[in-house]
Amino acid sequence: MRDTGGHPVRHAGQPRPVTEDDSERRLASAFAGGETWALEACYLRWSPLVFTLALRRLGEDADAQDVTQEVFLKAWRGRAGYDPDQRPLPAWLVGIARHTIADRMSSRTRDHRLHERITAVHEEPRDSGPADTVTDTLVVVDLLTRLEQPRREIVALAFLEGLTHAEVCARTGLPLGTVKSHIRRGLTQLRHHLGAGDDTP
Amino acid sequence: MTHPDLETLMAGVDHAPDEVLRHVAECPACREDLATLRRTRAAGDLLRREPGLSSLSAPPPEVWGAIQRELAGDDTVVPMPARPTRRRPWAWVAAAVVGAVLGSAITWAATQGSDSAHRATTSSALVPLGRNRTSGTISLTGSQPGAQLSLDVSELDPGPGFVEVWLLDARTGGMVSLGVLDGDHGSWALPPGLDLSAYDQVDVSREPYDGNPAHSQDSLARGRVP
Repeated sequence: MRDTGGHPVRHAGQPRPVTEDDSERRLASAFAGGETWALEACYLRWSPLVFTLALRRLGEDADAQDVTQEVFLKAWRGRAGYDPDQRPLPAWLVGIARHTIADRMSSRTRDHRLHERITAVHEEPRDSGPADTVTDTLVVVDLLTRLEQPRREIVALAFLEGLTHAEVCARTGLPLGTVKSHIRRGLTQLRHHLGAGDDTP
Repeated sequence: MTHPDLETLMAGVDHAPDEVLRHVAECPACREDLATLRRTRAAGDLLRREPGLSSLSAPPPEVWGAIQRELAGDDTVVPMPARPTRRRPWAWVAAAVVGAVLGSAITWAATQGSDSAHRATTSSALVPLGRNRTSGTISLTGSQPGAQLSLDVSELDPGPGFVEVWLLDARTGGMVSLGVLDGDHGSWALPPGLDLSAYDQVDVSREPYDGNPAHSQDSLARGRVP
């Protein structure tokens, strides 16, 4: 049985904590509510993720800067359509980023008159969905930078390196109970940050 | 319906036993967990092949300035510079600019403790507020007690008054003045007892010569203590 904090069975439809990071949740609500400080906070928090993602895809620093600007402007102006209860803020921003990058790539393609490639290039990021490993990787790295020790090390060893609980204990010198609890919380945080793999903004 | 324990699920990322697969086929919660585990493992594999992905780059400060200029035309003008008061939820602003926080490999990320950089200098970005263009780099050398904070700024608008540097406790609105910034570089010893986990924001303000030692609420730029 999975340890579900005293409940023998976790039901699929049962609400569960989306994240233990309440500050992030409050930021998402404030952003959706149009509180202006939230845009600055959101930018400080996630612009490196958006910028790096754009840089990785587009290769050009100037294009990545334009995309970063566009993503946060779109997010802010489109905040009425954002429901923090449905979607974590980082997953929403990453979705907007992927569409914006796709648009940029398709306009580049048009510029080069490679009409036959438009559809493929335009569709690529949408089709890649949850299998878009580069995006996932940057999202995970972004989360790792936020985690305090020892969770950061435990999450990296257990989820990225694929070590067993016992191996994580041996590597960190921490007791099994502590390791298990960090792994469980770490999984919740990873699930939250990666979102459902749906990139519709 | 018995859920496989997490370790069983984790062991099954590549080859799950049949009974786990049968369960996962019927259980959305475990299916989502397994999908997350697989995506994360794939991220780990990619990081091993491309260690360059393990660091994020912050966009240059001009991008934030451009966003603010753009929004100035909207009805929903962002009225920055923000005015620090006790009511403001500064905690959210305390979220960091990442910079190149992670090193070049997973193991690096995994083994770095928050106290591992004792004498090292770490840095973060100073981001302009409002229509200001002041930006720069915040550097922290050593750790408390005895840490030293320095700033290198550019495009500090010439204007009336003088420029003062503060540390801000986002949760309480508490502020500690570090001193005056004269020119584009300054360095200050931090008060030895100051808790940098609370005072985790650097604020640069323009201050009038009015004899009032309090913050003028005219912030030019802000960033996180590295």
